[in-house]
This record gives sequence, structure tokens and C-alpha cells, in this order.
Amino acid sequence: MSSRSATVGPFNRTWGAYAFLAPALLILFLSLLLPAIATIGMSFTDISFLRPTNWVGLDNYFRLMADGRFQQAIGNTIYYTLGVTFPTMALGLLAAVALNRKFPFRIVFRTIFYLPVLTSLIAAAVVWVYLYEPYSGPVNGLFVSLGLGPQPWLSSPNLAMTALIIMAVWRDFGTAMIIYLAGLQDIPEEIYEAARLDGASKFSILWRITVPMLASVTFYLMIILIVQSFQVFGAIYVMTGGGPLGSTETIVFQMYQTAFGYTEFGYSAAMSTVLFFVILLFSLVGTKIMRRGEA
Amino acid sequence: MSVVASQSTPARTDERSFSLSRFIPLGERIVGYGLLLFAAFATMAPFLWMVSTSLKADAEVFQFPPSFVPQGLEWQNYLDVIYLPDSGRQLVNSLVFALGSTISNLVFCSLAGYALARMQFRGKTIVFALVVGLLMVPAQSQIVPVFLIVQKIPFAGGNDWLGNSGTGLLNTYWGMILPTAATPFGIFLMRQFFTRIPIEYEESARLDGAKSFTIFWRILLPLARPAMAVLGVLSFQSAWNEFIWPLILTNSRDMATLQIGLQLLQSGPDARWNVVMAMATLITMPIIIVFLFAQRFVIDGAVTSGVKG
Amino acid sequence: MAELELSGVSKTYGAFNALKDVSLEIGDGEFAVFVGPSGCGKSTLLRLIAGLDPVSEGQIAIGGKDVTSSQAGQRPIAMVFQNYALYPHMSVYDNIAFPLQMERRSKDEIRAEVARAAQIVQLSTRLQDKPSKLSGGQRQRVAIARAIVRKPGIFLMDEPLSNLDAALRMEMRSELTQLHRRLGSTMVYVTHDQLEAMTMADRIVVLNGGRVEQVGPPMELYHNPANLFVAGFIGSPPMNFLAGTVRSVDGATVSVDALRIGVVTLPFSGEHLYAGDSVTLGVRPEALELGAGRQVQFSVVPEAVERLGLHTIVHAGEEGRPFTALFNGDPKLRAGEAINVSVDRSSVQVFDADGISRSRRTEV
Repeated sequence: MSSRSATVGPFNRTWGAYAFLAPALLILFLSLLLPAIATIGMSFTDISFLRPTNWVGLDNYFRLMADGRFQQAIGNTIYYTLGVTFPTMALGLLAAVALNRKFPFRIVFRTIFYLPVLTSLIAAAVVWVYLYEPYSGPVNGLFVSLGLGPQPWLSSPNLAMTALIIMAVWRDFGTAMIIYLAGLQDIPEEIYEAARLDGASKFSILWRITVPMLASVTFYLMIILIVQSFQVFGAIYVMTGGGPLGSTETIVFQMYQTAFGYTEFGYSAAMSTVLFFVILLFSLVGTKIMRRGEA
Repeated sequence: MSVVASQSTPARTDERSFSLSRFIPLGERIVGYGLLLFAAFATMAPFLWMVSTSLKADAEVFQFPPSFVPQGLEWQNYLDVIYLPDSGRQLVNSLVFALGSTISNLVFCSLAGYALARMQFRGKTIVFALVVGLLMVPAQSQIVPVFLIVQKIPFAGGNDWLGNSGTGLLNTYWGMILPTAATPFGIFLMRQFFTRIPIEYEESARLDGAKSFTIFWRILLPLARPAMAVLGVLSFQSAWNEFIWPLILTNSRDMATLQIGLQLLQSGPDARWNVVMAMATLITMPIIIVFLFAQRFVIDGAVTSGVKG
Repeated sequence: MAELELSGVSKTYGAFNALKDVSLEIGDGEFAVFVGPSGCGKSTLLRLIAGLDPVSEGQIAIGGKDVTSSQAGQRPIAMVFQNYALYPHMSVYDNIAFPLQMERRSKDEIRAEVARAAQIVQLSTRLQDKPSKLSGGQRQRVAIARAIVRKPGIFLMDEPLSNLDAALRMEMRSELTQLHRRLGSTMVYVTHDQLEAMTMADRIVVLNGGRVEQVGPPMELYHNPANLFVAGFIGSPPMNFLAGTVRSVDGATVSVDALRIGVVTLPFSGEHLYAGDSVTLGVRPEALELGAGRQVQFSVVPEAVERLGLHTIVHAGEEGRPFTALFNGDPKLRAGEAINVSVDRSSVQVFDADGISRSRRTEV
């Protein structure tokens, strides 16, 4: 079949194919390829659009290595990424396993768990700012009624990141659930039946059969979540502005501030380049694993 | 392998486990339902608070601890949102952006996906590798250069041929839509779908004398409806929900979208939580409604064509 | 006049030679069947005729016109695909009308043509249905109707019955034969099933490894296979092969010492055969008779007996070499108990060390 599809066009249709491809490729060039190249190029300059641009070689990168604020941003980003990725996967897996058998209202539950994914970043952020509101917010309302003291959530350097992580897990676990559900459906029912006949308990079926068989899905999901969390920006922009005391300042947030706040586009591009290659590395590893899983 | 069977992909879940539930003891089932209900409630809580607060009167918003069920139904909050001076304009901007992005994605990604799936041309491997490679480019980290590129589009917004001296496509719908008008994901999704359509349809049409575009338009596009639905809904959702890109691109109130409007409303000096929540409810609803109608396509389609590729 | 003429057609995919120097003529109105094991190149050959793939070398002429470089849609052919390739989003009517729409025929003309074709395949009442509502046999007929409306010089069919169950396949076989008679047009039919080839073809083209092994009417291939491959491929259960050595050749007979049978003298001139040559004797299972009634007699030990009522198949392989006999009716046999069988001398075929038949009677 595949060797046949490779020989579909016996007659030269190259120009026709280019016409089909041209608009999309032009857009991809302008929105992804050129920016990626431009970012790397700009990272070797001190471009700011305010004064003449100079070639500065690796200066921006040397500066990054010594920049305490950037190191804090890296730390914050890693903390956030770990905090989001693993709970999201765990909750997603639990929801998927629970919803993988057929029972009444199954679709309703699936829809409910997926709703946060559909919510816009801003709507979610605004609602959670309200939920975390220290004086009239429902979260503190719950804390008080449980006999715990009210907390200053988003305005505490100790709690702000945790608050952001909780919201991100809420928004993302639906995605994990959907991907896990798809993975679960690829596991033949006979395997479960065989395990049941062998006398395996529910827990050992989950732990010894389901989880290992989902390994490649899990890995893929982990890569997506890491790549996505590494780029967190919107929620921070709206909810904390990087504060308090820089405790929620992440790489992309700092990049944005450096470019548009301090007009240091060259320096910002260097941050972007570092992030770019870190993410590319994760993506490549992820793709490799995916391929291996398929083979 | 029957052609029709390969077209409709019935969810395999349907056959399974119906009988299983009979074996699960009642007590366990009650606990299971209880846990699920709790999880569902916890997931819904932010939405419920959003709607609840949106219906509260000003005074009730500041009660502590807050009441979950509003004392009255203050529909006025919704009218306040609708009568905000910019909300009509923002709605138009959001719709233009979301629909423009959706339509262009449908057109460009299906054309490119078809070419990559089924046409023979020099450089095909390179182009496909490029698309897959671009899938991995982190979009969020590209906002700065994309902004600069949109500003420097030649001959637009007073620019000369080198793209200098004007504002380019900043503050325009074109500028907003351009970077989202085709995505590697969309091309990849359509390509995967087209690849799976049996080649015989096309060969049969070719034997009947149909030309490339006729085959694409009359045979393959109608067959690709499920994939188009997925791509359409996902494109609409992502443009409608997009915040950062329009925020950076536009600096005039006239071009702000609803998402920006909500952020402005919330961060404004006289923000009222009940009105903010009313607006959040209003801009979330369209996506949820679209999703409820297209859920079968979106969940099954997005997973099968996107994830498992 | 030859309707289809292939001269020196080759097809290579990279380093792989799918077809090697195929030359063939198929006459007007003939029902030709390409048969062979999977990978033999029969479907590739069909695709070259259709114009779906370009030939690497050689010429293809249809109706006396060289079409080697014409594109698919411009050749006077119509094709029925293995999976029918009915457009699932179009009604039966639109499916049949599609080729006519591509020819930009008028609406009235299209309606008349579709009605006519639908009547031929007995689907006039299902025109508004989508293909998914039809049974396998009905889909098959829609595909045929879609081919009919093109009024092609040649119908190409790529394993059209392989998706049907056994009973339906038998029914469609005779329907296709009748259709061929009724339309009187040239048909080129590809199958891996020798039974289909035997029952339907005017002429069979046996392909193997990208080469034509033999071309001829079914009974010619059955009685006078050109080589070991054709002998083994045509007929079911397949022909038994027994290794042997030529003892002597005297111009009218050949004496061979073969496994199982021992020394046997066969009534062939034995051209190209010399004493000491390795040969293979071929004996059709159905040529064997129980008992000693025929000239060549030997005994075998059945290891399995399959009784089908009309006849009985005996498997009596030895040392990994299969051997089958087919007897009429339901003779009293038991696995493990030796039986005597016999066969006419003239029914035994001889193949030389290269597998070429040396017992062909050219006068047929």
C-alpha cells in the first residue's frame, strides 16, 4: 500500500503541488521559521530599536550566565514545570481509568473534566484571581470554614507559585485524561480478561498491566506538558505580574519584560534562544520515544 | 477491508465492559460514583463560583465567607457587560479574528496537507520534515520576533519596500490573523487524515478523467469532513481564547478582543467582581457550546489524528 | 485486431523489477485473466494498462493507438477496484454519474446513461442510497455500473470478488461472465485465485516473478502446462511432483526412474532429454485411480483422508514431499493402510531440470 501511494503521480505535478503548499508554507515561514532564525541572530546583538545596533558576539550569553534574576527565573520555571506535570498526569490517568468503562453519565463526567481545557486563559485566570481573593474569595472561605486561617495566596512569595500550579493542573488534567483514554482504548480487552482469569486484583491490574502498557503515552504526555509548562506566560502576566518579589517570574515572562519593558531585544533574544534549544531537546526526545512506541 | 468500514471509525469502547458493571459490587459502585461526583464537583467549582458571583449584587460580593448560592439574581451585571462602551467592538474583533483564523486554517492546511499526503513533487521529504520540525518550535517564545516581522511587512501600514518607516500590520486584523493562519499542527493533522483515505478513490477519479483540483474538491474534501471539523473547532477555540498575541500586537482600544477586554475590566480601577464574572461567563459560553455540539469530533478526532498520528 | 497490445513492457521500482519485458496481445471482446501468486506483478501490470503508473520501458497500445504516455483519464478504459472505491459521500446515482460529469455530458444524457447502466446491474431501485447502505454484492455492482457508463474499450478489474464471501463470489462469477457476454467488450481481470481464472477466462495469463509464464485458454493450461510453475499453480488440489532420472530416450518413448513409481516408460518423443538427466514427473491427483486399472501402478500410504461426498482426497506425503490423490465418490479407505493407485502413462507429465515441460503436445 505504501509503495503504491508513493507512485501516485506518474506525471509531473510538481508545480501543482507547490501551488497547494505555497500559502501555508509562506505563513509558517513568517510565523515560525523566520522568527526562530531572527531570534538566534538577534541574540548576538544589542538591538533595541532605540539606538544603533552593534554586534556583541556571545556577550548576551555571558551576561545570562551571571544574571541572578535569570537564574531565579530558571529555578521558578523548573519548579512550576515539575509542579504542574506530575499531578496533571496522575489526575489525568485516574480520570481516564475511571471513565474507561461504560456506565451511565460517563460522557457527562468526561465533558466536565474537559471543560477547564476549553476555558480561555484569561477567563480562567480572572476566575482564579477571584477564588484566591484574600478577603472575600471562596478559597479562603473554605479555609476559614475548615478552621484554617485565611491565606494571602497570590500576594505571598511562598504561596503564589503553588496557587498558579493548582490552577494549571486544573486546566490541564482534562488534556491528560483524553490522551490517556485514547491510550487505554488501544489496550485489547482480552489482556484484562486474561489478567482477571489469572486472579489479578484491580490494583495489580492497574499497576502491572495498565500503567506499563501506557508507558509510551505517558512519556509523550510528559514531554508535551513539560514543553508547555516551560513556556508559561499568560497566567503569570495576568495573575501575579511575576511577583511578589519575583517569586513567579518565569523565563518567558522575563523574556517579555526584557524586550517590551526594557527594550533590550538582543538580551531577550538570548533568553529565548536558550529556552528554544532546551524545548527543542525535549521535543526531539519525545518524538523519538513516540516513534519507538509506534514501531 | 471494506471501504465503508474503514471510513467510519466506531469507538471501540462501545462494545466493551457493559457486562463488567454487573460484576462490580453495589457498595464499590456507590463509592466509585461518590468519588467521581466529588471530582466532578471540584472541577466545576470555579465555573460554579463564576456564575454564582456573576449573579450577585454588589454588596453580596464582599460578604465573608462568600455565599455559594446568590441571594438574588442580579441580571443587571450581564447588561452592564453588554453596555460597556467597548464590548460591541471587542465582540466584532474577536469574531473577525477567530473566524478569519479558522477559515484560513481550513483552507491552507487542507491544501498543504493534501499535497503532502498525495502529490508527488520534488522536495516533498524536505517540506514534510520542515513541517514536523516546526511542530516543535515553541510558539510562546517567538512572540517578540513575530511582532517585529508583522511590523516590518513591506508596503503595509505605510511601510516602504524594506518594511521600514511605518507600522506594518500592527493594529490590523491581517496582522492578528497572519501568524495563526496556518499551523504545523493543522497541516500535519490534515496530512495524516488524507493519507488514511484509501488511494483507490483518487485513482478511480483519475481514471474517470478528473483533474487534481477536482479530485481534491469533489472527492477528498468531502471525505475529510471529520478532520475539517476537528481543525475548525480547534482553530476557532484557540483564536477565540488567544490573549497574548492580540495583546502585544494591538495598542489601540479599537482593536482589543474580548479576552483583552476582560483583562482590562478586571484590572481596571473600578472593577466589580460580579460584572467581571458576568463577562467571563459570557466569553466562555460560546466555546463550551461549540464543544458540546462538536464533542464527538473534537475528542475522538483530536486524539486519533493529532496524538496518535 | 488486438484490442490491447503490450510490447516489451517493464516496470522497475528503484532496484526492484516488478515486471520484466512483458509482451502480450489481447483480442477484441476477449475475457483475459491475469493470475499468479501475490507479488507476481499482475496488479502492477493492470495499473500500467490503466495509466495509474508509468511504464519504465515498452509500449502499450489500446485499439491500435499507442497510449503509453497518455494519462489515466485519457485512456479508453474503466476500472473496477478491489475495494470498489465507491465515493462514500455520494449517492449511488452520483457515483455512477461521476465519470460522465467529468466528461461534461449534458444532464439529460447523464440521467439516461445512469439509468441504463443501473438497469444492467439491477440497481435501478437503489440509486438514491449511499454506498454504505448497500450489501457487498450491490457495491460491487455499483462499481461495475460506474465502469459501464464510460463505454470503455477495455474493462479492467482488480480482484473484484476478493471482498465477497464464498457464496456471493460464486454468484458474481457467473454474473460477470454473463455481463461480459452481454456487453461484448474486452475485459482484463486480475486475480490470485486460479479457480476464478479457470471459470471465467477466455484466456489466462499466468504471471510469476514479473514474467509471463504461459498464456492460453484454461484447458490448455490445465492439460499442457508449459512449465512446473504453471503446472503447480493451475488445478486444485495441485499437481503432484515426483523427482526422477531419465533412463533412456528412444524417439517415441522416454523411460524415467522416479520416486514412488519406479521405472516408467512414457509415450513422449523426449526431445532435449538425455539419459541421466534429472527430471520431475507431474501427476494430477484427479488422474489417479484406485486399484490397478491403469498402466502405471504404485502404492501409497494415506496419512489423512478428507471425504467431501462427491470425491475423496487422500494425503500421502512422504519425507516432507506432499502427495495427494483425488478419487470419485466415497471409497473405503483408512489412514495408515496402504492402497494401490494407478494412472495412464499419457497423463504423466515430464519437466526437465529447468522446469520446462517436455511432454507438451503441440497439436492441441
